[in-house]
Amino acid sequence: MPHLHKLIDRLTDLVGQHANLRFRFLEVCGTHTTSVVRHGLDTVFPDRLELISGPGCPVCVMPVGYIDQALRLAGIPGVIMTTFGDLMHVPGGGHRTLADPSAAGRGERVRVVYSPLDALKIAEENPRSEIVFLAVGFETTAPAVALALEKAEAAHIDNFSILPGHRLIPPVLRKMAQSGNLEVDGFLAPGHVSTIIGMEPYAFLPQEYAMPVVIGGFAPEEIIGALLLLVTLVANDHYQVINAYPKAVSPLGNMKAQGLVAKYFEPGAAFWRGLGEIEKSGLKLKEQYLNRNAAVRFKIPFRDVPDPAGCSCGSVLAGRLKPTDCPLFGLACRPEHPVGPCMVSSEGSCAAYYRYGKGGSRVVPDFVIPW
Amino acid sequence: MCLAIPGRVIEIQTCASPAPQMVVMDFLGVIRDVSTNFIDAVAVGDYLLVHAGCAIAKLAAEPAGAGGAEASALWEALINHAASS
Amino acid sequence: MLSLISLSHGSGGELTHQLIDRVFMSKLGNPILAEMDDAARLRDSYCDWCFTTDSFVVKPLFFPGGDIGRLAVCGTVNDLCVAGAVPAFLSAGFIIEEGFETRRLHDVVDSMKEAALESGVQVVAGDTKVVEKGGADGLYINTAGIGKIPPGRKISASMARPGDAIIVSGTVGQHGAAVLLARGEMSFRGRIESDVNPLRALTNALLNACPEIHVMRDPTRGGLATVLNEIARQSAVSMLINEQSIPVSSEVDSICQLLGLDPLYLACEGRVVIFLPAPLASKALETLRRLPAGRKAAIIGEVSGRAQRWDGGAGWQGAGRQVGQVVLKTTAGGYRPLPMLAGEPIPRIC
Repeated sequence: MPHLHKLIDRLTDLVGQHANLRFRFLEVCGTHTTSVVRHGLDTVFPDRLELISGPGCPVCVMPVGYIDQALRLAGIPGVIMTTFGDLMHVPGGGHRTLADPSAAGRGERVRVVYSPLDALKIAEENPRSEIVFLAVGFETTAPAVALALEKAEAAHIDNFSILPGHRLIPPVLRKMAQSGNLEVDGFLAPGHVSTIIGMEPYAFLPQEYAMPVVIGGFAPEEIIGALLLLVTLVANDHYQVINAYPKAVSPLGNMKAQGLVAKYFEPGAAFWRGLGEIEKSGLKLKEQYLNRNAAVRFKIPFRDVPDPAGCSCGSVLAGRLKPTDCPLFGLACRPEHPVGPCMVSSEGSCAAYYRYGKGGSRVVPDFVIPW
Repeated sequence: MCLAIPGRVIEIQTCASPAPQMVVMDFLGVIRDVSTNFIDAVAVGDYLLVHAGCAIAKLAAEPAGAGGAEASALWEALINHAASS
Repeated sequence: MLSLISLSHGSGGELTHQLIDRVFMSKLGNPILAEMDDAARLRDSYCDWCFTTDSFVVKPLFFPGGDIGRLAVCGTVNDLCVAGAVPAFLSAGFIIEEGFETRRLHDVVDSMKEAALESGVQVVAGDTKVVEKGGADGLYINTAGIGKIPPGRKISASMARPGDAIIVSGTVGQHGAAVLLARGEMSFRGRIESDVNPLRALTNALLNACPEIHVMRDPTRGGLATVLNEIARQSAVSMLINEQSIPVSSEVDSICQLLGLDPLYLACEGRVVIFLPAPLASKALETLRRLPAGRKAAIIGEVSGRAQRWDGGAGWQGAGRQVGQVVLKTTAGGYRPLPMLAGEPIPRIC
């Protein structure tokens, strides 16, 4: 990757030229977090450049109450629960998870799928069972769920329903910007969310909050390049949205995907772990499709449950606390027995920090690595 | 969030039902059916970005290792834009 | 520790080790078991014997490159081979679910016969149990094996020394990826072949060429990363691994990217990791590459020094013991620790 090294040198030079400035950016997206730590990019960052992890892990931001709903649904006789693997180990109330041997309905009745369309196929193949899909994910994932609903409607597959849990990125960014205690100089915006929504939904950040935004891809070179752009914007006091991932992101996004999502869903208030309820930050099923909502169909309403005691995931998600500063990190809370959701999903920032060993300085024989 | 991986279309499935439209894609030796309802005019040989079994974008060319000189020119243009606008 | 056994306790990673430490070792421990190698070394006045056992519960039973029968022979044979032993005799125990097709049992046992021939071992004892429908998932096999260790040979996971080069004999993650694809749960297709193979030819050639080898180990559950950590702990050394030199096939890399998995944590069933003094590394590499199963062999890193105490967030500081760390130099030029598998790898899309 010779080009990567050129970009890293350039980033180091540019940050060096602005000795009086600090460059602290929020990487919104958990896939960015994972890529940064997995490739050890933070060990090649120049001093005074820091990335903090935002609320961009869709599993991590689901409130305890959602997991409890899922667990209760999984326990209903005749229900086959389908889910992305990401949710299997997220603890609900009492630390129970879908993967627990003790979880009601565990066994053949919780199945990990790659696509909501696979969940629909399970519904077709098991007409006597009720198939519930845990519909989590951001704007990137919602179109696939809308497509499963579209096919279910067209083919009258009536034993398929979802537990709506989609969350939207721009409203949570607005909430964080509004809060006033977010000490960052710019945003590294999520490439694949932007593939769907385009550039415009971020425009309020430069316009109203003087925050530059760069939409970035996920390869090491794409991340370093995006950071180079952010540093350039900050150093020049330029506030705008730059699309540094044009191969996958067009200015208007994927209109077909947006259209199908809008056919089935509308924005509604939604709870985020650690951040509370945020206006229009979730997708709820439209009135005429309420029978596709498993919570309605099986009368298992959402109940807001407090986050686990001592868990700082809320502060981590809000970018106020580094994972390693949480008193539970690596002790009571580890990937084998996570307390909070940031330790669960492998792209949760705590799990990424743990797995890839961030935290504290380490001396390795023969050489020193400045962590 | 949102892992999305590029792959190449190797077969368009002719399918009677209205939705979804399916293609067979090759991800460097791993094969999977993928829905292309959100992509216009898909042809065999196209590179698509796939998330959760759905293509979400058509990629300009072969994505792997995107030709060094081209990528380099893109970053130059973007950096100039960021510095001057 | 959780009050109930979860799948993660069987994944070969951190929780498996906890289970071994806190349940098995604490109750059944003795000096031989405490050596914690893949096979036990039994000292006799005439010569040393090597003894090991393994159970096989793979799903599906048949997968590209092999089946549970081949796996059951290779798994045990390989544990003997990497201990430096010449495998000789196996036992085989079958737990069969009521209703299992006899034809398929024939296929499995044919594979065992073939693998036993390739490995030069005989199956000399056996057992069959049939459980009622639902009491097992088709077929489980347990094998135990015994082999002879030539006089003077001492190979153990506790023998890695600073200055050792680290070699892996071929692409990693093939078996884990092949089984994942064969299971078909995620609707991916493709022909990733399991690497399931007896290591006897490889380890024989290696030990003849380089008798000074310190450690051999076959990375199975938990993958390459986990086996490196086991060696780091048992030898109390630290290592630096170069990501760029680790052989991974493009198909395995691709399925890992699609499902958010890491090839360094996927199982192998026919690979060996070798630690030996660096000056001998090129000779070992040449020896490996001359054999079909070793064509992709590569030097992937080095033992960089004695163990340092892991004082970071990884949570071992409470244990208060000296543990070695494994550090990965990434393809991008950064560094990060490469810890043992934590939990069970689950495909993810987010």
